[in-house]
Amino acid sequence: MTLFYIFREVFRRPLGIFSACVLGLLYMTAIFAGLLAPYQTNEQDLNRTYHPPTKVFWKDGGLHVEAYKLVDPSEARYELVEELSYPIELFARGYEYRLFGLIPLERHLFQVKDDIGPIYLLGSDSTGRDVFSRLIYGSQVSLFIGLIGIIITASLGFLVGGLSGYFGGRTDFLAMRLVEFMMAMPGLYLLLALRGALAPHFPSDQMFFVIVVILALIGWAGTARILRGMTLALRQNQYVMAAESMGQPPIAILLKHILPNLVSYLLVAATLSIPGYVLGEAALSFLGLGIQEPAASWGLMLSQAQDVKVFYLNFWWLLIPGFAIFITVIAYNILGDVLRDIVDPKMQTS
Amino acid sequence: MFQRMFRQALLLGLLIFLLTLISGCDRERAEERPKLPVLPLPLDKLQVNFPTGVFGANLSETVPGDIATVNPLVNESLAGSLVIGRILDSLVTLDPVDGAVIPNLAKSWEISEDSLQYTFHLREGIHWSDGHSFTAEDVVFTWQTFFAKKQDELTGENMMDSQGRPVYRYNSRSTFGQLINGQEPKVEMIDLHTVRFTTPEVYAPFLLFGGGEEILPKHILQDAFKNGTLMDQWSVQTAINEPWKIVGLNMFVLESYRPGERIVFARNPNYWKVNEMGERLPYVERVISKIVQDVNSSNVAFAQGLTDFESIAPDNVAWVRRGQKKFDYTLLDMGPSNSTNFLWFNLNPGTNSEGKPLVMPHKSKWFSDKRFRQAISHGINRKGIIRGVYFDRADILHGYVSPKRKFWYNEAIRKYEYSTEKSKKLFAEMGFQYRDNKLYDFENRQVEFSLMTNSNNGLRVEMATVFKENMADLGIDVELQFLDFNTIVTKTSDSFEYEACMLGLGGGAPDPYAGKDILMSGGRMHFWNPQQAEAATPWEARIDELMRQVGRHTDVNIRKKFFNEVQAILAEEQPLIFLVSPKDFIGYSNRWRNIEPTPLGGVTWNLESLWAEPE
Repeated sequence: MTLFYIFREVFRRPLGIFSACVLGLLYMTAIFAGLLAPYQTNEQDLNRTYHPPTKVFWKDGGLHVEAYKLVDPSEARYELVEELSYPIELFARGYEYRLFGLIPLERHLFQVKDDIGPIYLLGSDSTGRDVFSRLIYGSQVSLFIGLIGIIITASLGFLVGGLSGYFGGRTDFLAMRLVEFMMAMPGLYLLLALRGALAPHFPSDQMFFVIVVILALIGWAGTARILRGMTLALRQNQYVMAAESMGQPPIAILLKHILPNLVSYLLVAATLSIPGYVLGEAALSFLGLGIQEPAASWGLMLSQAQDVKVFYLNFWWLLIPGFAIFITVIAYNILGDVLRDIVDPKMQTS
Repeated sequence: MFQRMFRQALLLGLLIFLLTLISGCDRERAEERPKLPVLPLPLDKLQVNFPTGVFGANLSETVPGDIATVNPLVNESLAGSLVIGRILDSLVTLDPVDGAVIPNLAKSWEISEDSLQYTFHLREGIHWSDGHSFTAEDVVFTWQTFFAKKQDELTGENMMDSQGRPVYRYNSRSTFGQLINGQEPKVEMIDLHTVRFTTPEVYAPFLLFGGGEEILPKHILQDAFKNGTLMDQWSVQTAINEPWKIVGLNMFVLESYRPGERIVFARNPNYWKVNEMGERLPYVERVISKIVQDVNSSNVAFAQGLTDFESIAPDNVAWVRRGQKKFDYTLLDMGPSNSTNFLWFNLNPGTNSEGKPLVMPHKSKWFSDKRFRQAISHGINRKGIIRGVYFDRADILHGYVSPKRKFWYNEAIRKYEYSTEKSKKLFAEMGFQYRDNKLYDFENRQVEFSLMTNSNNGLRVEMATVFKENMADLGIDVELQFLDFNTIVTKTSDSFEYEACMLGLGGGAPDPYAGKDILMSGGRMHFWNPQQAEAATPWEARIDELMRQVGRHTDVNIRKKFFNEVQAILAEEQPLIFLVSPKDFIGYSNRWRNIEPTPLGGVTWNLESLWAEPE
């Protein structure tokens, strides 16, 4: 069962196509964030806090965006100005950014012409920052946290599980007791304690990596345990014995003969556990322990929407990050389900 | 057969056991609360001039946070002092309009010519809520509890600590709060209704600080004082099981308390204020205080018409106001509040335990230059913070004193308007340069620092992000650190390993001398460089001297002159860079009458005269 076969099968199923496309779209947005976002994440406008979303429409042979006027600053109430609208320029010059972190660019997909007014596709937040731009930049954190995390978890899990399953004996005993130790620890409390201990040593923009590493270091135990069981079974196969008797080193056997048999399981398990990271980041940031201001992430944006005034004054656009998390988690779960159907046809869900 | 008998015997035994349990409960309940005797009106009753109302209404309110004790000697929480303040009363109080010290339990007082002796004349004929009469003995007893010495069990001598200071038996906050430069004021009873205090040196705030001390009932607490259990009295257990044992002189007594749920106060039948008709106040029959999590949930309860009085956070006003018609309440803007927000740079020149400097030497050089602090102050968009973060419900804070304290507020201090040009000019004076829109110092180091603030205060987090953007406009990189409050306290008062910090202060006593811990260089809360053995800079030495004068003089105009200079020095030197002061908002249900809110007293300063039609 090759990777190519799995990919082909995913695209033969409607649910597979759907979820893969949604995820593809999300990741493309994250990668091209600089191009898509009209503003920087921390660009404030204290005269336009809690600005409602502005609609884009077609007028005089070009795209225009609605203009609003602040009527009551004490309540952040805005009113639509009918006769006024700002023209939108496509591929216009704006703030400088680096595409893929390398290529310096200053063109953006869209900008208000000559910057005469604001464009808030999803409204603005408590310091007048564009929610749309923050959502896009926030996706970089929220989406890649899962990928980086799962790479750490899977490699640690494979190393510990594979080695202990292959060697057995004392190695196995020690590794499995370590796994049990990790599993017996109350995860959330460990997370909070580690976060508390590390926080004063990192600026808020490096917190991203700290969180990924913490989440991954807690999460590898389960994977290791299952992989150890599978390795134990695979080890009895004749081709492994043959390789052993021909004198191949254990690492080579693990990588050449055992890993290919585990790939399908790893793929399914990884896809199904990425949402855990997305939600974990959201939960941590929601508690004020994750990504911190002024950086953006979906969990942090959602935590700012828990203010009572957001509900009472109908700033509903601040809840959009929650919707984005919802879509991502659903898409990963569907994809994981489809993958499992392909890998293990006997256990079809439908 | 045998089995059946056994089972019957078992059943019987169980029955008897249950019966004893129930009767046990009954016996406990039999010890019901005593009915409070109502005694004749006191000779020196106080008549308050509000239109006569109707008795019997219940008042409902919310308390943010639970209480830990009802004992004023032990209490540290805001909710606790709220509850204690309802029950106990003091000799003097503050005028709700002009903030002057006015008579309360003391009907008058004299201050001797050398300003050392304070003689208070107590109201005659006042009774505690349980009917026992209130005399000068109670006042003397209260002060005895503060300064009772611990005695050696063998020799009977007063115990001393290693520095030769006496060890106190009941080490309460008042014990240290009432010491005047380390010495105790003397208290003596002249007759049943006269008390004389003698301060060891001239101490201007004594009338307010000493007279404002809540008086404890001698007849209730005397035994506990003698057998050493005073600090364990009036605990949460007392409040739950025997609330009637907590007696007071104020308008309410504790009726019942359920932890985490609610506190119920009942009217004190022996209160000493009367209305125009000579009827005993207050009108309110019961106060029902629900315990809630935080200010937000408290505000939500008021906005849904569940409570009668409420102070409202500035950022909640917009939506609370929307329910005014539906739930029939009124929202009032009471003007500036006491709370202040500010940031400061760590000016501590010391080293940590490993011998490393607390602040990097080149940064220390920037921070200790007053032009640097002034430039930062000019670079902060305070108006923007008010408009964006506070929805226009705050005032620019120019100096140490909030504009609410009109009497002490010095209008003439130096003010720092938002002007990046002025900041840049000051940086240029210091020899700093700009390259690629980034600021570099005279030794070509890029200017950057970290600012910490507490993560659980949403408004302050927003202010910090605005500050970061303001500094970016000046070419300065600010790294924000959001930490929990305890970590910040450790860093600012113990390890001192930080560069800059943003915090706020709320409330505070109305006398400027109450700020000596912050302003004087030896103070524990002298944030930028606390507990200095000797003032590190000439201007700090000058503030120390001025503050000593503020404490020593009793003439308010002289004190004001000194304190104005303190404010002017602080504004010039900017050790604390002040930001904004939010406004106070209060709400009250329209069914209440005789409401006359004042900025200082809020809406409940005349609680005894407030009335509503009973439901």
